[in-house]
Amino acid sequence: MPEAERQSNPFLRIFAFLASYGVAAVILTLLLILTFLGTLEQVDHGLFAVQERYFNSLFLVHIFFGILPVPLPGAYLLMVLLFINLVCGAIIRSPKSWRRPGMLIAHSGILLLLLGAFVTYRYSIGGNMRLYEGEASSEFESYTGWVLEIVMVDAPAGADALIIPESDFADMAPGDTRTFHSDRLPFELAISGYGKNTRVEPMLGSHSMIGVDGFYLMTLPRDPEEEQNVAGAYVTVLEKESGKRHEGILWPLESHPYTVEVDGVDWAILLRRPRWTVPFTIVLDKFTMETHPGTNMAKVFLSDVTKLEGKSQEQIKIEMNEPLRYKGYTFFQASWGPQEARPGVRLFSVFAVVRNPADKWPLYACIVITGGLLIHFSQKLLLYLRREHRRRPAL
Amino acid sequence: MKRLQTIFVFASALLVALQVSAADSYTADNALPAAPQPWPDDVVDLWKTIPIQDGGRLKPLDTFAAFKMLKLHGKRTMRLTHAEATIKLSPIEWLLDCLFRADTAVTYPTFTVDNSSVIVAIGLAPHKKKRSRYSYTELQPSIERLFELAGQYNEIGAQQRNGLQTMTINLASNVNDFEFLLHYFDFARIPLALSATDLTPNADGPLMTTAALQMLPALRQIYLEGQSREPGSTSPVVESLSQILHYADTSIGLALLPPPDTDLLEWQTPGQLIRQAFQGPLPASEFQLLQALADLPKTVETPDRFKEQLQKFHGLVTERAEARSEYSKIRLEVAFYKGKYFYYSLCLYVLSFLSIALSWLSSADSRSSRILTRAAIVLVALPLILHITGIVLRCIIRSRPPVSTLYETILFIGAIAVFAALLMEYMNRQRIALALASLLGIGGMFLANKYEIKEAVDTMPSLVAVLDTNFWLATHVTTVTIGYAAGLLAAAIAHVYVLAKLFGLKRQKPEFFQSLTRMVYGVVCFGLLFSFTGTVLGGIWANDSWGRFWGWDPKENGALMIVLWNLIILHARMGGYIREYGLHTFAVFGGMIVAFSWWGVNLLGVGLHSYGFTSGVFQALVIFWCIEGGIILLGFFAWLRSQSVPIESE
Repeated sequence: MPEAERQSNPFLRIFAFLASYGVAAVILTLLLILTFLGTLEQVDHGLFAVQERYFNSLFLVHIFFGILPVPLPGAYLLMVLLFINLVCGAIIRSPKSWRRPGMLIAHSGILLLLLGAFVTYRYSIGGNMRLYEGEASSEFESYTGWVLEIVMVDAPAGADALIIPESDFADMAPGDTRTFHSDRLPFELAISGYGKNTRVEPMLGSHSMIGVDGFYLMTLPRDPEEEQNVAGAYVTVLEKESGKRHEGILWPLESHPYTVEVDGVDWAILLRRPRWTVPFTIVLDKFTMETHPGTNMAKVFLSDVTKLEGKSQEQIKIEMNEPLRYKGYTFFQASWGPQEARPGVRLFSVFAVVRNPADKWPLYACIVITGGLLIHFSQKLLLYLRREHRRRPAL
Repeated sequence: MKRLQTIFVFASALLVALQVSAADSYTADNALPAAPQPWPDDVVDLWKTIPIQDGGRLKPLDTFAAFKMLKLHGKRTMRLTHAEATIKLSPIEWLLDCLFRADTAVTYPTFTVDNSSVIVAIGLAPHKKKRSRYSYTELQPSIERLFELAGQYNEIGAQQRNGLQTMTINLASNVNDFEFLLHYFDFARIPLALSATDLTPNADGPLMTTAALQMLPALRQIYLEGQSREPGSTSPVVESLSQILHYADTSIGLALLPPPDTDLLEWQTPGQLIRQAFQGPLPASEFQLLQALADLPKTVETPDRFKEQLQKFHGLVTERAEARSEYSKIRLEVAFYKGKYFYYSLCLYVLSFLSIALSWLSSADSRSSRILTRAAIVLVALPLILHITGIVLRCIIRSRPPVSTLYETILFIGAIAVFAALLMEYMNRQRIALALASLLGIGGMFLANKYEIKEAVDTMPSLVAVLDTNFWLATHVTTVTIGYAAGLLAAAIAHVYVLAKLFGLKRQKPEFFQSLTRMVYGVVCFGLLFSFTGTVLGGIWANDSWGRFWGWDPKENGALMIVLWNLIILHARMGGYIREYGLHTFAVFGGMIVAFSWWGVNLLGVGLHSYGFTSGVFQALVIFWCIEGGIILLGFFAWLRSQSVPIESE
């Protein structure tokens, strides 16, 4: 296509812009700046908050030196733009020659890596499973976030509980009240005073105007480590038939959930972490922790588990750097407890559990990219050596 | 002639700087009241190869002594003055004095105090110099106050403590370590309140702890009888029992006694065996080992008997350690430290740089220049061989790949940078990469030495569970550190370009600058390959151990920043946004990013890579960044100047 025509066609001009080295350099520079700022910010704000604000976002405002607000694109947006730039510039526009395949291969690998990042971000779930020796479980729990569960106390095991996802109440300010109702429930549920990090305190001597049975929810500053935050809320149960009101406090660290009797049936209402079920059961047979002799430094963490599925069972060892991968789920040896346990005390093991459809994609991408770079740079090096050989003086 | 002067001035300054760093910048105001007695060489050699379990691993006592001395004294040689004469003590000799000649050891200027305000704070008169070394005798009147203050400061979080508080805590910890050495043999040196006659009518002389351990039932009987006659009374037997229990708490500084059962991994101290004796009679083999150790202080004044006794103890311990397959690398480690590979390679790197600098005096084609260049190649290759030998020996001793600690990254990055620079020299033979090879070698060895002294802890530590994987240490860690080395090498070459342009050197030789540009470009590509592969491999490792490929952890981010910067350089160059000047100044900035990733992120005190936390390097890092920032500005200035020169005159 002649240059003049290319210049006049607005689509081609946009394509040329999107495919340009300039756009690539700008995106990479912004990513670099964002990575740097996001690293420094972790000191004060913790990993979770920084990750949400800088790396999982489309836009953000960074305050430089505590006074100068500067809007910046988030890493999520930048990676989408980088993907477009790569497709346009490195795949569609780049010359494709069997003699120089390195760059095409390497850039394809980066596309795979970015796609993997997207799939992981959107479709992976992760949490942990804590088992004492001898215990079994098919469920794992998220590290963060909360759901509201309403369940009949005497419901048979496996009966469906009513779950209100966090997205339905997480945006509430402490002064807001939100009412939930369902045909399955003989009452309406009003949630108020929702706090992201709270503690239940006696009202005695406090200035709180709201409270239940002499206790109130104290709102605490948000902990930089998201796992440490404990949400809390006031709950009002309004019976549909009688219009009777019951009030309570929902706080996940209470030893028993809030229960209320409506029409002769006991209901439990609780705030808890989201949970997922795996299609098999893990039994912790034995947990072993060895330290380097004469020190408290851990040398080996090791869980002997049995995987039960239908009638089959399999003995497996899960240890640091040796996870169990099965049916799309991966179980990693994460931690253990109780930390100060004396010999003979029953131990528990904590597994990080992840389901990530793109689990192995980074490995494939790494092989593809490294291969591509090796081919390309080796060709360049040979070219350089030939040139130098012609030029260089004798030593 | 002027060039010759410049080179000599530079070389002298370099040597002086190295000497100053190696020499003692502290002073001890006190001379020794009595001259230390020398230990015979064969005795010293035997002690060196005695194994000790410390920090979770078996090591020679020589290594233990060296790092203990480094922690307390700040050096691995102690200079003592007595009657105008200077005596040098090696770490093992110092340790032997602490163990067997406590009266003399307490007068040695053992404790390094960086700031005399610590001494003032505990109520003592400081030496004239702010930085000085103090003996235990000098500190003794205020030791209680020192521990009291350290206890208070320990309540403050490590990040919130000021310099004085940290130094006070460190001094208290050092004094504590020293006291454990001084009192290690108390159980074998100090007789109990009871005499041997009190227990066995036919025996005479003082009763020692080891003998009493065999008679604990009799002691218990005497104690019970005494208490039934006069409850709560004190008597020699009560005193002796409390003495023995006291030794169980104080004789714990050195785990020198291998357990008899191979299933038991923890080596014992005399204190632990004393406690064990209270729970039941010690097995004969254990008692024999303890007795052999306890007999050592008794014979210390008669060298022949001492040596004989030492050989006996050495034989017993090594025999058992060999049976437990724990002795195989002890002698190799002693030989490794005796070889001083990294020290000699530093000296040879300096010599090689001098040789290259001299070769610059004449034109490249002259005979003298060619001879000096060849000498320089040999002088760079030799220390590199020593450097690599040192790394390989460490790998054999540890049964690990070359890099698993921050200290080892310095050694490895240094070796890779020198090797890559030599390879480049082989390719283009401009004598630039050769000079950089020796400078990078000097820098690497100097930094390794400084870091080792500053940290003063064993550089071959046990590894936490997550790092206990030779596969990932060999792949991810080595690859990503090669990426670091490449970033630093590119920055080093870029310095030559910027400074040469700035000072108008080689103005008539555009091919010189073109060659530098090609080198930087090549090294950036090489760096991208390794830093990218290393970073992704790190993610794959994290996916296998923590369940996530990427977690935006500071160390991961640091590695990503290096990858991104290399990509920026290459894409900006391809797009024509940067040319020669841009490439070089960008490469200098790349060196700053490597420094951030390598050292800077550790200072943030957050993240999962906690094996790399370090403190006190912030100042050095800021100075480095300021200098590099200055180089970038100079590069920009030189570029501006070149733009103002009419094209035809270029």
